[in-house]
Amino acid sequence: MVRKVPADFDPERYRAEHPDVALSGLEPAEHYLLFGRIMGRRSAPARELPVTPAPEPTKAKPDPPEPNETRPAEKPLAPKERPKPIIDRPADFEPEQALVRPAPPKPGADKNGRFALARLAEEVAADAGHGLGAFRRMFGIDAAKNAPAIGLGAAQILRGPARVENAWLTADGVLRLMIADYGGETDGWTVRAYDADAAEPAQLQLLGPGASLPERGPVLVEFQLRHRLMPLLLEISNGSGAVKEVALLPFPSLLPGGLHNAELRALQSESNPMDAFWSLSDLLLRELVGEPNSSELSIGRLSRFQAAEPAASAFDGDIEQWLTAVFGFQRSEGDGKSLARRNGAADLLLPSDCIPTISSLVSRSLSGRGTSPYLIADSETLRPRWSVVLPAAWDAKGTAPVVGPSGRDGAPSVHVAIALRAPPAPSLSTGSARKKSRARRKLSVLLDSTHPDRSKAAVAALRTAIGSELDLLVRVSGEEASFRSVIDGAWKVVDADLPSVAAQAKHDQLLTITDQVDLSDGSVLDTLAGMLKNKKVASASCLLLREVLLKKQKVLQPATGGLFPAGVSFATSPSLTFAEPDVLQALPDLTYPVVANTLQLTLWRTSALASLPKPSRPLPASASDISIGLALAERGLVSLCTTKVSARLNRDYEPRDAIDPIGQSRLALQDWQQLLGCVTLLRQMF
Amino acid sequence: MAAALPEARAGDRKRVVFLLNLLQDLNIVRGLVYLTARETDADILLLVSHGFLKRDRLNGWQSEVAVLAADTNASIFLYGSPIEATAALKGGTGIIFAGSESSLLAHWETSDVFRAAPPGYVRVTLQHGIECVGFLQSREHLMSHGRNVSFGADIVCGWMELPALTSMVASERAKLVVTGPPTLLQSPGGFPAKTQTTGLVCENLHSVRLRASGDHKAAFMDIFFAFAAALAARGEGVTLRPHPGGQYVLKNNVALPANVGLNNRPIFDVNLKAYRFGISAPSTIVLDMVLAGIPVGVWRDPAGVMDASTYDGLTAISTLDDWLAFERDLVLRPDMILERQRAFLERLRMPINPAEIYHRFARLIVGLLSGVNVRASAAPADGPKPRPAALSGEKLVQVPA
Repeated sequence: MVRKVPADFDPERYRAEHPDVALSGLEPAEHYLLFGRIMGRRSAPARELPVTPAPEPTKAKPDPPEPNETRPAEKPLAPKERPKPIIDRPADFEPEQALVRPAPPKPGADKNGRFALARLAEEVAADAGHGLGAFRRMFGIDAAKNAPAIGLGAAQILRGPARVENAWLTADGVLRLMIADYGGETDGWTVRAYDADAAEPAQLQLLGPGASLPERGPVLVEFQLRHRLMPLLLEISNGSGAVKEVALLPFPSLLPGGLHNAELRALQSESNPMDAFWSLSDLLLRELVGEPNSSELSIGRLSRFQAAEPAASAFDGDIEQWLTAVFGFQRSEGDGKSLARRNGAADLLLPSDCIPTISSLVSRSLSGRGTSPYLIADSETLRPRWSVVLPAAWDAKGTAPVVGPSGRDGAPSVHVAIALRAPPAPSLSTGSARKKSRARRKLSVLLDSTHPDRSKAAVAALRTAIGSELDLLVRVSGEEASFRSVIDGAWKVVDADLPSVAAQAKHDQLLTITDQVDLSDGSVLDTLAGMLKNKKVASASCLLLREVLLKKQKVLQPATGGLFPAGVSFATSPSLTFAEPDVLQALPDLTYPVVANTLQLTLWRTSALASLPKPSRPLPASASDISIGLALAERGLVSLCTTKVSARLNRDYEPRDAIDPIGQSRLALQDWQQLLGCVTLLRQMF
Repeated sequence: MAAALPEARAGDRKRVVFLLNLLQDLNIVRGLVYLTARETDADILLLVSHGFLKRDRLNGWQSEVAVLAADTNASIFLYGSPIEATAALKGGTGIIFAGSESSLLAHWETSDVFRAAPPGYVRVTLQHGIECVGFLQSREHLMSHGRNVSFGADIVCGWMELPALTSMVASERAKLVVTGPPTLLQSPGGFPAKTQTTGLVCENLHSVRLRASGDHKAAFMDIFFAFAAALAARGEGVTLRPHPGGQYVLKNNVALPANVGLNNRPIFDVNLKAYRFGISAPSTIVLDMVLAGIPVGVWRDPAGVMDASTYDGLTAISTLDDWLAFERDLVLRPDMILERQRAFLERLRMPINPAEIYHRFARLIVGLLSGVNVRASAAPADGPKPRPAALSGEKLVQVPA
């Protein structure tokens, strides 16, 4: 049935009353029939209709306070009619009760706030837990030999009425403690903090006056730190000034805002991050200053990321001072630049582009285990973003820094990283920096053509990069004739799967490329060819970048850097799913094995491709590359990708995410372990 | 008497700053602004985002901000970028409150201010609804926003105890201070007593609740129109209240039957007690109406797809027959409905005594202000300047500094 507008429909009025009509480009009558009628819009002047006028979108219509009036009132409430804004102050509340006041001067401290460690030890009640023993051991103070049990000594601060609910560091080096609502139990208590200079650790330094707690919490207590990494002592005193407890914060940089907070986040094993902070601090402290046989952490393998940079160059005076005073590192006698552990048990060469985790610094033994995950942290916030596991067989050059903590029986329980690494700024090929290929080579090329003009440009770039030995095969989508007229030189049309095409290729290496890839930088081919020198490597690809419009600006973003295992799907039978994550963040400046390389730009070993069986059934286009990668992996061959070089896509590309392209059990359950053991595993952390 | 706060350093002023970005933020922070003015001698700043001005299509909320500023002697500043907000924050230390802040893209205007805030400020995020991203999420929230919502704040003020806040991720739990809803600080009094004749139906059709697990909007409006028609046949009316954040029926210019009135005033100007009943899809307004003591029906889609589990125990209504039966029960067995609501409040594990909530917030604000003692960041010589604002007509506009 053809609908008609009502006889009294007024198109001009309808257009005037509804601004979206003009924006839609539709005639008012057409708009009314398509949308307005369904939305209940009136078709004629309101006065002619029995319905209530709809509210105007451009003018407020305040409602009366009385609900029995069913139409909006025309005027808002007069100010005098406004209700009282908030409730009265409760009779038992006095703001003075909640004020945090500076603590009284510490008896025995000099005018500069210096206070002897020995005196503080005398003041602590004998039966109170305290962290002074561990503090002395951390700094190797003589009396440490007789120091009591090791521990943080923070019964009140961990679990007592003065429990620290939260703590964090601000950008300007202030430690903030949120102390619980203790219900009046700690009235008159004071909190003070001390640190010590590495050169004179027995002489403590008060960090400000401290704070007197009010009757009720929660309260904020803050201390301006003198050093962003050095251990701290927190003292709790009662109303009469007697010290109740001295707690040790051995590694304050684990707190939010600190240099090592990413490590805490990555290893958080307690449901509450403050509990996790205390438990990890205790674990690391015991490893650092515990008995010789009490080791719970062991380093799997030590390495450095980049040998070119002198290790110590990344550390300023503060960090070197901390590494020396707390962890026993010294400038190596050999080159005078590297930092090495004093006892020599582990020759830890600190990487120049990383922040060593405390776990790696305190660890005292080598486990001999294989690879473990390491973390890539956000460069600004140091929040761990990616957990990376490189396969052991591939990591022969020590690319991944690893620390594998193991239990007493040698079995690993958790993994920690040696370093938090911020991804370097990407060095992207640009027009002005484009290089020419260093060497002409014999190469077969399979060009997937989607558009004549783009194909023409792609072939021109290929001939420049490869030269006269180009064996060009073209797979066209669309009319072949339209491509014939624009693509120069000799080329051959193919229409087959990749293994079949490889069988037709003249040369040992076959490049698959689409006309959406800008291959102006010929050095990309040199890099890929270099990766194929290893006979185990069947395919080599590189990071592909795409242009994205972001806030009116074109920016380059990673499109693909190979396919990785992403998860498990139970949609049919259990099967692995795959994804194309942002490898620029996770694997910067690295060559790594993947499940498969995309067909967008990959250099293949022709013989490896040709040996693959033809697909028994048609696969979706999005699955062909994964299918080939899995088939190669079954034959023990490796697909490599690199972020050391990159190429650009001139069309948009949507990275695939958690796809299950193979459908049925293409990869048998028992083969998962083998596959996962020989490709790079990425986990994006939150 | 207000607490005389210790000065951090000579010349530094203690400040309490409130970010207003979403329209509903005003209802969340309003009580705290008055409380701060009463209990402290700190300067009060209201930082209003361009997004707030843009969302206030009807120009009703900007004047409320101006009234609030006038009542509390607060200053209003506009900001379009975090740098402009930071310019207004420089030169002081204290607290920044945000009514809606998280790692979600929708909250970038406040989370960026938190990230850029000078270190002399303690950043506080307020839970802004009984179901709220990062605190307690429904299935529709999870579908739309995921499970890993975090906060840029140093402290988050929750309405309920931690075990009830099932969506608070592990890394955020230490930040929690349980305060209860700050909306309960606002005085419910001051309205004339009137005979209760109509009910209030609240729409939150913009919400992910109504679209994430299916398009439930049409079902809600169809039933509402049929319900209104049934009331009209008896010569009765009903009031419809659009959610301030969505204002669906206003934005879409939906024509309403003659017996349907609109109530679009800020919730603190609405006398909920005066309505005969309340009906809403799952939303914080349900809690408001329950606390107001009126019988409440919680709508969920007739197919039962929508997650309304947070409101389990309250009277659930789906079809038109349910709505009409609920409306009959108001007369026949109102105690049954109200008893369900009392039991619901007891199960919530949430402070609902306004005096207790006052205590908690007042101690928090005074305790934080007196604890912050670092030197304030100096205002930069160049770069954006603060943008003070005042009400002109119905709009907040920038005025000379």
